[in-house]
Formats: sequence, C-alpha cells, structure tokens
Amino acid sequence: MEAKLRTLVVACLLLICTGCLPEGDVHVRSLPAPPPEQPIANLPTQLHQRNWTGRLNQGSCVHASLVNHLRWLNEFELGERWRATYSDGEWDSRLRSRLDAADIDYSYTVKADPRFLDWATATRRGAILWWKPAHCCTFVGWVNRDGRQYAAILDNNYPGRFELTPREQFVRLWAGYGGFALTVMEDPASSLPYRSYEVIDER
Amino acid sequence: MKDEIRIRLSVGLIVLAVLHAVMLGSVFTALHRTPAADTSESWQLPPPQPTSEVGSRIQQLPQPSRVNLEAQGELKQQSGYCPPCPPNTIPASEPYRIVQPYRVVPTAPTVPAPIIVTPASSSTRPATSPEQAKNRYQIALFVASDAKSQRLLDWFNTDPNLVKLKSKCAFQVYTESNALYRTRYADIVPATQFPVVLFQDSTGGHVHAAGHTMLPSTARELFDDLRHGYELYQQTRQAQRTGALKTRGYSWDAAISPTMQLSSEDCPDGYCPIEPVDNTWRPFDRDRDGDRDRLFDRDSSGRNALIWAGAGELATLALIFVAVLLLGFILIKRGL
Repeated sequence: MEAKLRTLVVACLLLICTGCLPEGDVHVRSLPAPPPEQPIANLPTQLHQRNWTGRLNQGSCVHASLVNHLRWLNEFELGERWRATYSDGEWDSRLRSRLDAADIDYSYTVKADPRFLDWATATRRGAILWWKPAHCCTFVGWVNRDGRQYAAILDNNYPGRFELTPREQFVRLWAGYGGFALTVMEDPASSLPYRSYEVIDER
Repeated sequence: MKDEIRIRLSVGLIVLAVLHAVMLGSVFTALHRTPAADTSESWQLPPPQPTSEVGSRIQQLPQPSRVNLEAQGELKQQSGYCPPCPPNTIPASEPYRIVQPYRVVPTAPTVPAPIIVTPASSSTRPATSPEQAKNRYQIALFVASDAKSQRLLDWFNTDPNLVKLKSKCAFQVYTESNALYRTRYADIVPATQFPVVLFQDSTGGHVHAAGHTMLPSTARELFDDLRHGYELYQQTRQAQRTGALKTRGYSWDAAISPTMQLSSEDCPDGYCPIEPVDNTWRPFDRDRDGDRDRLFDRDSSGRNALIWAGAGELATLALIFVAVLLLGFILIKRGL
C-alpha cells in the first residue's frame, strides 16, 4: 500500500514538472531602417509599359497607364488581358464603364483633390491620372526632395524614368488637365524587406 | 365584501374642485399667451452681440482646384508616335457635356520642364516612408510548385486564423516567374529558399520571416510563429518610443499620452492616411479603431497558453500543489 502511494506521489510530481519550463524573456533591439523607397510605387524600369498606337491610329496612353498601375499591384495577368483587349484613346466615363464590366473595383476623383493622391501614396497603390494635354500618366507617389514635395509621374511616352513636379504646381495643372485620377483597389507590391530588429539575448 | 365605491359629495369638495378648475384655466392662459404685435415704427433689428465661441472653430478644408471640365471628359489619346496628334473629339456617350475640340496651340511652354529622375535600383533595399504608410502590415508568400508551397497557400486560404490575419494585411503571392519578383525581390529572397513567408510592416521592416526548413508543419504553429514575431516587433517599437524595453504589465496609455490633433478623411477603403479627429484616440485603440494596427487578439490562445505566469509564479503554484498533495497524503496515512 505504501509503495503504491509513493509511486503515486512520484508520478504526480513528475506530472507537475512536465511542461512547467517557463518561457524566457526575449529581449530585442530595433535595427536602423534604410532610407525610404522613393517613389512609393517604384515600379521597376523593366516593367514600364510604353504607349502604343491602336487600330484607330490613336495613342493608348490611358491603357498604358493602367497597365503600369496593374503591374505595380501585381496584377500581371489582368494587365496583359487589358493590353490585349483595349487600345486607342479613352475618356473617363468609358474607362470606368470598362472597369465595371471587368468587375474591377476602383476609386476615382474628378475634382483634382490632392487628398486622393495623398491617400494613393499612403496606401502605396499610386494611381492613373490626366496629366499633360490630352494625356494620361501613372502617378507613383509624392516624393520629398530638398524639403519640398513633388509628384512623381511615370509617363508612358518616356518609360524608364520618373518626372517630378512640385506639389502646388502639379495640383493646379492637374485641375487644368481635367482633375481625374483613378486607383484600382488591390494590394500593392510588397515593400522591399529589411531586417527591422534582432534578438539581444534570450534568458 | 362589497365592491361598490361610494363617493360622498360635500360643499368643501365642490369648492376644491372649482378652485382647481380656475387655477388650471389661469395657468393655461398664462402659458399660451401670445405677445401683442409691436406696432412701433422705430423698432429695428437688435445690433449683433458678439458671442463667445463654443467648441472648436470650423476650419475650411483646402478647396479643390478649379477643374477644367472640358479637359476632364475629352478623349485622352496622346501618343509618342503621332506628332502632331489628331485633334481630340468629344466622347459620343455624353451628349450633355459640350466639349470644344481641343487643339494644342504651339506657344512658348508655360509649364516648366519637370525634373527627370532615373528610378533607383532595388538593390539599395530602401524602405517605405513610415510617415506615408503607417499602420499597415504586409504578408508576402514566395512559392514554387512543390507540395510544401501548395500546403502553405492552402493554409492562408483555409485556416481561420491565417485567413483573418491575411484580411488585415496587404497580401501578395510571388512565384519565381513573376516579373515583380524577378525585378524586385530575387536578390533578397532567393528562389532556393522557397516557400517563404514574409511578414513585414508598412516600411518593409521584417516582423517574421521563415522559409523552407524553418516553416512549421501546421497552420496553427505558423500562426503562433507570426504572433510571436509580432510581439517581438512590438517590443522594438515601444522601446523606440519610450526608451525602455517592454516588461510585464507595460501600460501603453500610462506611458504615452498622445496629443495628436487629427482630422478624419473619407477614404475609399476605410484606411485613412490621417487618424480620426477625436483626441481620445490612442494608437492600438482596437476597440474603436477596428483592429487596424493590432493584428492579433489579446486573448491567450497560443501554444503555451495553459497558464500565463512568470517563472516565480509557476514555482509558487507548483509548491502549493505539492503542499496540498503532501497534506492529503499525510491525512490519508493517518486514516482521516
């Protein structure tokens, strides 16, 4: 009887000890972040879509801008389908109709509201917008340089580079060009990763 | 027992009723008396009295620039290959909008030439500006065609915890053939490490990264790993802001009293670059902010969640248990 009890007590003690190893406190230290990526929608130059001439001998700047935008959103298949389907000139209401027909969710402004571009930058999506006479470009975010804010534009007539225009001037001219901008509601490409913290010690 | 109610009328009661009726009538008359119209010719509007401001002053938001409606609905067809481009036409689908044919007049350029910059190569590994994209996390899966990759994808489509986490983050899947991967991430995430889970903040700072052999065998374990990485990451953030590492019982609210005056924005996806105007808002205020920054629930459903206690508390609990056991043992031995 006594031996049985002793065994029982030992078994209980073993049971208690099992899984009782406490978690050690992990101390971590943040690592310095590299300089911010500019522009925020930094589509690689190899993926810049050049404008093309459609069957009506018109430029396809709106579609080229949208393809650039979709590529940044990692929607390559959709972008290629769009490029194969649509070409030539485009206007705002028809573009939206076509996006609706393709069941693509989007947001847009026709009031040249710079807060729309602030939002497009904050969400890292970018946008397409009416920029330059009878032209459409891809807005790739606000860029800070020498204490000033510039709009960074990818012009599909000049792929491989970004054009910077001071914010106030940009908003004024954008209104003159029609004030239209549109963003497709998909997640943008991931940020370039860096190691943000390290474990100092684990006790 | 009689159910009848007998009312005895008396002179005093009648007088009281009359008095009550008279008083009621006089009160109603006083309440509904309309003031006599002022027939005086000299009456004028009283001069405006300066009133003290109640609450905050209404601020006018910056007005949108005057939009050129003619240019808004016109055909955008500029091409780099057709100089001079044909004149723009009015879209036929909008007959109500009268748009004159637009013709570019070759005059001296009024628009200064923009600054031309060459895009920086991705090898510099810059981060997204934290001021511009805050409170958002990203999950990127780098997958191949093997079974392990497929299983990883399935986890993010079926496991409730991972699906919920995915919905709160910007989510992307990259394959080796993906053009964005080849041009942007190939140097950072080699294909030999596939499949890879990359959990990062809005600037690109890693929260948790696991690939290939480091990936756990179940979705639950992966979720716990992501949660653990998030907790470590949060420690670094709090250390950055307060100068101290997180300890047990750390109170964010006690440590930091933000004085941010923020204004609300009507944002299409519910995510605003500017925080709500209410100054009682706190970072990580998940009850009112819809879990925008706090990705994981505060409940303790992790793998080590049987007892949430420190080493000393665990030892105390174990000693108490042993003492109770021994006491019981002694009592049994004594035959009680």
